[in-house]
Amino acid sequence: MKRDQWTEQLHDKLAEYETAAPDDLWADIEAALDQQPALAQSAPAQPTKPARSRFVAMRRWAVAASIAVLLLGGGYLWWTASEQSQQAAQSLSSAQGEDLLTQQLPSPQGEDLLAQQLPAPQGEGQGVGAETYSDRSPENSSEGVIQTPPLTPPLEGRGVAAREEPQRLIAENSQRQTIEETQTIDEPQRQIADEPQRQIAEESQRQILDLQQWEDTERPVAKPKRQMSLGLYAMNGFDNQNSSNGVLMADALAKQYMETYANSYSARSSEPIWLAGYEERQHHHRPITYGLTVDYPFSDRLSLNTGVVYTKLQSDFTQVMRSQQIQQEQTLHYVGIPLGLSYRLWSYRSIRTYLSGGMKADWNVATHLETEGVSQELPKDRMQWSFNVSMGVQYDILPQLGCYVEPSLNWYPDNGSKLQNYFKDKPLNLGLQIGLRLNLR
Amino acid sequence: METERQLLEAIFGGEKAALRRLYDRYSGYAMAVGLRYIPDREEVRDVLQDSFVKILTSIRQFNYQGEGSLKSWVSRIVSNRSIDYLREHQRFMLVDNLPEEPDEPEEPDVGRVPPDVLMEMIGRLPANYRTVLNLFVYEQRSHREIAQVLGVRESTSSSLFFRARKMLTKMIKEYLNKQAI
Repeated sequence: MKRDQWTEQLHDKLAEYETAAPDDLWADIEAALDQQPALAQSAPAQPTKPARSRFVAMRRWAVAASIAVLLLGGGYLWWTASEQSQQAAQSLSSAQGEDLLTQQLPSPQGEDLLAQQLPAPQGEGQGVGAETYSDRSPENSSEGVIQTPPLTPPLEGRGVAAREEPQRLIAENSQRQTIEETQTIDEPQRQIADEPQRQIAEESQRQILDLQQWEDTERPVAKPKRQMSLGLYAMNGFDNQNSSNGVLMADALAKQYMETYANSYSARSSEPIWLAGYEERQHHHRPITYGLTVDYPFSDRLSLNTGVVYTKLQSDFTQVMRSQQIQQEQTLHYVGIPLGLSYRLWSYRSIRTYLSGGMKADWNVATHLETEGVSQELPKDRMQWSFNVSMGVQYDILPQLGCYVEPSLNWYPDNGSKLQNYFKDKPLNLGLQIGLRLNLR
Repeated sequence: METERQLLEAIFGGEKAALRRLYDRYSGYAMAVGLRYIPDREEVRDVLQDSFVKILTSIRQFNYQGEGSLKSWVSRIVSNRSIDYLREHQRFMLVDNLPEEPDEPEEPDVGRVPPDVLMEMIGRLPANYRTVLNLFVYEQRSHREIAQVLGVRESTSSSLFFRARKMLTKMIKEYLNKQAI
């Protein structure tokens, strides 16, 4: 309906009309302003949008980082707690071994005898320690070298392979020899005085060696295991998306326009008429995604992954009509189910790289639209399919817990709905996924 | 008289008294805008308070586009807050697919109606008619834009305006007839 003379009259009649506001209104406004955290006059007239955008982006990452730190901390505590309980059990058995050791501690003379009898270390691979361990005669068992058997149960308790035992014994023997090299047989009294320190040094060395062996055996090995894993991640798009469109004159108006200006308008009547000073601007914020996934391996390299994913899309629309503007803020919430395959490319110790590919179905579960601060109904979007390929690097901080970074290329085909969002404006987009994986046994 | 630009410069310069000057300058106009949407003065008072708090706290976001743009901005905020208020208080019954009423009323001369009488007449219109009339006539928005703001179809906005106009025409005619006697 066009604006006619009567409508213009009606407008002009009240265009400058004023009526007094309540007397005490300003006092109430002042009181309300005092409760506002930041009053306008204290800030310069600078655009605040970029700073706000930065803040929002930082806040998203901060939330993701907080979740990651919480999980990391929780995982570490869980792991150390289980390790401590293991150590407690081991120390109990060690204590029994230590008692035995104390009872079997040789006299200084016995130690000297041992020093004379012990062969010099002949290097790894000769299996001296292994022979010493297995070939010990009952007679020797009363001598210092036979102190080692009681130490083996704790090592076994920590999962040390039997093949590593000889190396430890060689090292112990080397240590003993080093100590003995500093001693002279002519100084028995000094040896007696030094014996407690020597025992402490031996024990310390043994603990260091035990720890080294534990690290060597317990650290994730290059050979991958088939482990099911749970993942928690946050994903952000790489960039916001902006676009703007001109506005076409409505068909009915265009027809009327053509009739009125048929003589002066040289273009064909079938051509669209763009309205001068009218524009529609769209600003789509980077999508933010949180996911909980599960990886199920079905070979050494391949695994199947699925889970549940939440995605939030936010867009600002501005309609410019000469000097007037209408602002709209649209928020869409999706819940999706991904299904994909991962292929392990390469791994070394705690690091592994992999390729992933898959698809996802997203359902729009909630919408929100605000036009100039007024909430409005917004119909839900249709189901959205997407396909993605990604390459990830995972670092296992603990055997049970790894963190990963996964840049991805995502394609969102048009789902046919009229709703404008980031995926419609940028169907092919890059994303960066950061997350944690809990490796299940 | 202080221009809008000077007033804004004073506000951005941290002059607290300039906020009061902005209020003094536009509170009467804002009150009139509010009353066009909500005829009850007490209710408009609440709307106005909220509107001015928003205006004064978000004035940094205002994009100056020449003399008169600040006044338009004030009007738009009061208008939006009024619509929000009507929504919150369930005054709206925006039904899509209203049947068209084909008969075009013969418009009486609005020029002979005093502004306060016209305000009172607009206040007597149903809330949804009044809102569409305000947006179309006084906010100069198209039915497409009104449809977006109110979340209705364009045809509904057009139909509501037609009915508002018809009702207002009748009231004006009655008033002018009384005056003529």
